[in-house]
Amino acid sequence: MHPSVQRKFTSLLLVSCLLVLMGGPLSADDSGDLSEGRVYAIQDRDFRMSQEFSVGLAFLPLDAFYKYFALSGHYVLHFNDLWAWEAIHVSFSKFMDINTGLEAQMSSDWDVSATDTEKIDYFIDTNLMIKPMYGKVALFNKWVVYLESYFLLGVGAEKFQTAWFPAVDVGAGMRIFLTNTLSLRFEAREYIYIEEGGVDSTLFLGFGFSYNAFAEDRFIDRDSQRVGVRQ
Amino acid sequence: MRLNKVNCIGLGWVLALSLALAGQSSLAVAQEGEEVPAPAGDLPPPADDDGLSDEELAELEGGEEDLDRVGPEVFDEGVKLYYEGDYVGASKRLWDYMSGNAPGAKNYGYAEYFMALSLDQLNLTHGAVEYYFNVAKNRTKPELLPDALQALEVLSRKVPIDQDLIFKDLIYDTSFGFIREDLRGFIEYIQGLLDYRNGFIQWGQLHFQRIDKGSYYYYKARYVQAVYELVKFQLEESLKIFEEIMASDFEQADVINKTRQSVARILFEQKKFDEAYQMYERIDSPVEKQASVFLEEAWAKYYQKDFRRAMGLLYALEAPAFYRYFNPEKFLIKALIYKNLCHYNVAKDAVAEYRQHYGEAVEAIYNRVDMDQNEILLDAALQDPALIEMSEFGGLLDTEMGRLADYSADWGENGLLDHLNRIYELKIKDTNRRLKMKLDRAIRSVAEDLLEFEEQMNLLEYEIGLSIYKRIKGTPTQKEASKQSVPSSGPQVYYAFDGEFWNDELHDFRFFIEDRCFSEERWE
Amino acid sequence: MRLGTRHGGGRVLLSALVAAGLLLSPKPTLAVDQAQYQEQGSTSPIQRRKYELGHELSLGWAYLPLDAYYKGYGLQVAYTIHFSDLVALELFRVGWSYNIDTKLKNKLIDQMPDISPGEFPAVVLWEHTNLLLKLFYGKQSFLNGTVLHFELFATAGGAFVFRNPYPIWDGDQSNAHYEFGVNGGFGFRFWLNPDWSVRVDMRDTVILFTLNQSKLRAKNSAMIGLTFAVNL
Repeated sequence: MHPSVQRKFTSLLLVSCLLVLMGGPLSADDSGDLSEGRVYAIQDRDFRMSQEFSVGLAFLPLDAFYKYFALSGHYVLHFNDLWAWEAIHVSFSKFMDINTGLEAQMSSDWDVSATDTEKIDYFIDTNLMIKPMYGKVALFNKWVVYLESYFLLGVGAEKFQTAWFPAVDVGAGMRIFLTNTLSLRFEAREYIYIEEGGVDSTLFLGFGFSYNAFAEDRFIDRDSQRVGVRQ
Repeated sequence: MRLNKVNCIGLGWVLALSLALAGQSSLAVAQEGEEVPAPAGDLPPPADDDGLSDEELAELEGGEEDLDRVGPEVFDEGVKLYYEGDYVGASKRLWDYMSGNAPGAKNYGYAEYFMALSLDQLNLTHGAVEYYFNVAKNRTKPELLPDALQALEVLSRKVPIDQDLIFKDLIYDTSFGFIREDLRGFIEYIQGLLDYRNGFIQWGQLHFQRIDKGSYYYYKARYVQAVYELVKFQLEESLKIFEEIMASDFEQADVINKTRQSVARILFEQKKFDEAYQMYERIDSPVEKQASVFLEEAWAKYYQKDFRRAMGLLYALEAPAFYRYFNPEKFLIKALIYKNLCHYNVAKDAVAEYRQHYGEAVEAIYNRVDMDQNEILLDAALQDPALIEMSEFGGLLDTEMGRLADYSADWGENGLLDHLNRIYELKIKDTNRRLKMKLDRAIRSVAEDLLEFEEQMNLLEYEIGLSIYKRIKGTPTQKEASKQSVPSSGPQVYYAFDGEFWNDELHDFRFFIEDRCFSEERWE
Repeated sequence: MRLGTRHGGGRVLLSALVAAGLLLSPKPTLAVDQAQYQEQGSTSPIQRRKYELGHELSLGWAYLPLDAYYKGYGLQVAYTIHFSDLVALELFRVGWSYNIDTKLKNKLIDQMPDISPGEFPAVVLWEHTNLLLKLFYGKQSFLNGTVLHFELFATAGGAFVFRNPYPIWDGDQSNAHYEFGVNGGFGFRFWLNPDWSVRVDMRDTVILFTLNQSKLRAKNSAMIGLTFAVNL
């Protein structure tokens, strides 16, 4: 297997693995038939996103010579509870790389110096976001924490030291709600970019804090609701 | 229609329960003439069946010949260990001190108090209660009285305790003189409640008047007064008091929730089903204590013809927390709902399910043999409000006595283990005896209820059969039933129920099923 | 009580001080603390989990992506004992990796005659013994239709790694490394049914010492695992 193809393959595998896992229920049983009766617990969504401003950190682990950290910013417009548009995502990794020591090791062990490897400066992209899963978890079997999963598909560009490369990206992530206005995002994206003479990819692992502006627009009137049953 | 009338009669218990709860809300007073064992330290003379000889008792108490042989350093060591958090060691040394000294010894009262604290910390609550009782009753160290009473007040709210011993023998029979303000409410409430229960209403009112307004026990006292008004059929006055209680800002307090449930029951009886339902939904006690709330809500929703919601509430009753809840009504409502939606086969299945659950018990009632040996009847009888606290107390005694064995290495040698075992054994015997006395009456009551349900189920089964026959004879209609659908997204999230019960969902279950009645007349 | 003994007076004094301390200790304020009157219920938000694990056997794939000279594709098997809803012990996770050389390694060997393939030891076998802390258990509703149950966990423990430049079947172990270290990471699982679940593990192993090599070089290897687990 050619190494670059292999790298693309493995990166894709990672993301597709996440996508498949998070989309697992697609293949599960269907709920259409109500003739025999079916029970649902129907609850108001305690947390609904409106306009999201997010800042975060990212880690790009797969390059052999450099591991990159990046500072990220996102603005996401949530149309409804299912669809959103990540109007812009920018991540800066310039000056935030860590040399893996591979070059030094090659030099000391074999007196070999690697050809220049272009470093990644930043990403910029825009994405369609779909949020098909909403749920909750018991933290330490004691507290209930709410979360949602989302998937991303977008276009953008990766800026290397010397050139811009157009890219498409796919991703999957999970949002953990802290309050109506604050949430944490964990996500993985795969950027597939077209470089001179071929296609390559970058795996992007991100973590961020999100502020949900205008959250009150999406509040559900709970005046008539019972109180205190939630533990 | 006949069946519904029967249902309404069946619901009469709802109000009756409200009344019964008031009297026994937190108190089960011993029957007259019942013997109440003395607390620890003052072990009772051996009962006929406990087989304890005088010598054994003397040995248990340390023996006269050992008295005064243990110096105060042992007490000090016990106290030191307590403050170091070694409650097992503290209990051991304190028992060494107590068993080696006469009750009149200078630090004996303190030793009992620290023993109570240590046992409390070890979650041996009954042992702790016995020693707190000694401290409060004997008052050899009067300065410890408020602390002992406060500990008893907290325990009385947190765990089942020996109510005869604490409420009747200690609080009701004792004049405490001046008592700290934060404890006064508790004392006056218990004394007033027992006065109400004994028919001394004016004395009870006097006690209640001394409770600070706005305190927890003030609202408890008001609740007793509201129920008393209800007993006198003074509905308006009763509701006024209930509203006063509900206006308080206590959250998740038992008295507020009992009040909400009582008011909801009154609204239900007044056929204000929606208001009743809204009131039930305001109850915020822990879900595992809400079995009766779910059932009563289901009735309210059934009468509102909101079958989807009513059935959802019945599903909530399948939760493990309600496993022991005696509720043949669940099957009745379920069958009625299915019948109303013209799902006759599943309606019949619900009747069959009822028979599967209760058939054996009904047979035992018809045969009039071994009713107290039937697990279902026994279990149901133990849910009688008059017995539930006693049976919970019995359960606690069993659990705590079982845990005593964990300390055999530390307490076996100096006799503390034997001493505590004896305390628990005696209390278990006494509790079982009192339970048995009340159980026969409760089992008879359960049996009567069950026979009534059996009759209703028979009638319902007949009606279902009749409906099936009518349907076969009738002409099919082209009329479309209203469609139910689940949106794929929106402000509400739908969790398809798969057998896992999340506490926060129990009030949110909805049952989705198509209405097959089309143009048929509904069951009214 | 023997007050007349030599130490008796002191003891009594101490007792009195203890008692006085007790009486002077902070008393509850007279203000009503409403929280204390709240009814206590179960603290667990779930009455009984539908998906509980006891003895778990898992089998699946592994991927070792981080080494510059090779990428590992492997198989692994693990046995985990679940003590409670929160804690489990992964008694062992044994894996084998088939390693594919990267472009960099090929280039080095092709272009530098001095460099021998034996200088690139790759992870061939590994064993982990870990504790699992199962932080989250929950469910998500997919398009309001189907419910997916899952858990997230953190894990850490000891690790043994066998590195060799050549596949096992080559039999050449002259440059083999026997390494010991620690590993840690995260993972999640989602259930297909009460017996079967799919588990994803992401771990990094840091080597602390190598048994047969004096040259100390900090090494780490990341592993991503995708396994099917059965609850025995």
